[in-house]
Amino acid sequence: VFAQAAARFRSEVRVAKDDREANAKSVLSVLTLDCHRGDTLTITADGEDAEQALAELVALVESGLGE
Amino acid sequence: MSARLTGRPASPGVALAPAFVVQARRRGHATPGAPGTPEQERARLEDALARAQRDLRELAAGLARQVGEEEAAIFLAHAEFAADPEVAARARSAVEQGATAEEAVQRAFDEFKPLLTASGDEYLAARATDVEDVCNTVLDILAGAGPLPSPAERSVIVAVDLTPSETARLPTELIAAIACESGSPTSHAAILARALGSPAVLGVPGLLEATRPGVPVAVDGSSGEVIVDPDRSERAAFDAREQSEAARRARLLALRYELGRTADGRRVEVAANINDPADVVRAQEFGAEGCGLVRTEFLFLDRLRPPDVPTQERHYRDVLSAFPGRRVVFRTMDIGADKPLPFVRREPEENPALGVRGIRLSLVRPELLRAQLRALVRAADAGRLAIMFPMVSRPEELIRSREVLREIAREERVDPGSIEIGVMVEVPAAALAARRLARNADFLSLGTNDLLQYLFAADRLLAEVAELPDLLDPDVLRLVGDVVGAAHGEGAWVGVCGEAAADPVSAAALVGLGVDELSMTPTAIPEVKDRLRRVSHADLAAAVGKAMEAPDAESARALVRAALPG
Repeated sequence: VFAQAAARFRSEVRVAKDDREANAKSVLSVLTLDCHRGDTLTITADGEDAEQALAELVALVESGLGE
Repeated sequence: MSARLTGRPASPGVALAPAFVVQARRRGHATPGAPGTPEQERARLEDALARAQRDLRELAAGLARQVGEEEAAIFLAHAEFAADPEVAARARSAVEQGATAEEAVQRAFDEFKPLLTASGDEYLAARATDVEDVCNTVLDILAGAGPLPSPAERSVIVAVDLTPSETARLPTELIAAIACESGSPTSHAAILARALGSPAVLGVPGLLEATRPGVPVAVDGSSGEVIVDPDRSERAAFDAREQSEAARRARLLALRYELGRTADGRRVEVAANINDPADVVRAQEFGAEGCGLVRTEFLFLDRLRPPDVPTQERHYRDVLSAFPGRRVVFRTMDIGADKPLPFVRREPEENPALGVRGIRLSLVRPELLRAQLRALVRAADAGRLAIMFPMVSRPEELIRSREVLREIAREERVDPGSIEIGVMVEVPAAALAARRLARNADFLSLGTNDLLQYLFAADRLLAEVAELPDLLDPDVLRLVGDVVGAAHGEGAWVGVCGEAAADPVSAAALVGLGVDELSMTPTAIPEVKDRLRRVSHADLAAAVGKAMEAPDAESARALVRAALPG
């Protein structure tokens, strides 16, 4: 769900947990971060729609990813 | 010479047809000979990834129509993997360094597998298998040879294993059965076969060696038997099996939309239990006469905040409108300390089964119950709404909940009398209080799984004690009979929504005891309707009367079983 949402933006979006980082648009990369409920994630975006991407993705994660 | 082989039954049914052998293609190796230029390889790579995505999405869409969203979801996830930008990026850079498209795909996917398995997380480890599947799908496309040759006539598909892209390309009307040398009941081939209602046997050692194209193959998807080139007597036996199976299916199919009734004409509603939206389609397909239990927990689990009223209303409306004119019973959320929710912070309990769950939680957190009831009441005009409360042990709990419901109905200007109100009988105290409960309700619904677990003080998930609870225990039968009698005496009807409703002998006993409605997993509905039609209520009532006097559950079961036709 997360990677699909990230893929909608033109900006490059990265997500990091602990010392590892992944391309937020790649389901497989995000999976390898092994995220669990309650983990702290850092999302960064770079590009023309970066701010909007950040706002929406943070909201998505906080809402429990709609699951 | 015939060859008798055995594998794992993966989809029931019997078929005898010529073999169509799907050749195992070599995969995972670079094409021998000259690799193309990086540009050519890159074009092959892009093309194969795009086609894999398209194939997988098409397969998912087909499955969603034929079987259900849940089965389709696997292939949608696979399509996501094939579309993964990191995979594409890695494969592209490998190609630019001179790798063939095959090598590039293999390397790109391989990079993710150890990362997934390394986590030690079971869910992620299972995804590594998915990655492998997707990788093979793409490699198959590269090994290409275009589309699979198609069988010329209705055939038994024989293969080592079928990948999603192969399965997606088989013309479904020509599949008589599927037999694979490898594969498990959860593999693609098995899912496809069940979707088509075709017999399938997987994991058949020696299958390809024994099979020549065009040779007749007999497949029994229930026993796991595969006979290659059967002789005359084996053929006759299979033909007979195929015919009786076909007759049985035709009878069930014809019966599916008939009303449930016994041979002597007593009406028994045969309804479906619904766990999530995907079950709605199955319930319609298998001829459910409405729903005897719509679980609502799925709306609340895995969320940080409870779903708001409009979201809930939308879900309830969807279910109600799927069964026009039929009763749909929603159970208010049954959540306890065993399924902690972020928005219901409570102390952990030593014993969640005996703790604050079901109506008990709803009464201490009335805002959750009120929001749910409001959403249900607002959806009431979409169908025939009934609401029941779980884990009630005292009539006061029912009366308080009913008051809340009536108050909300008034606020929403909905006639409370238009909504049937019921109570789950799953706590022994509720069974004993059946008369007082029925006086305040339109119906009682026996949740046999929990009722038995509490009656026998035996955790149904604990193997060592799982055998203790038995609905056919003579005194449990008597108790159920008393509950039914008490309810009927107060003008309330009685349903059963536990697993017992789908078990032939238990269901027969329940009907004999006077139960008015049986609610079960959708796929069990046609069989139950079929069995009811062939036995009279009078015979069942007599048998269950004798069973109550039996010395133990085993003899009681035998007495009920004796009343059933073959």
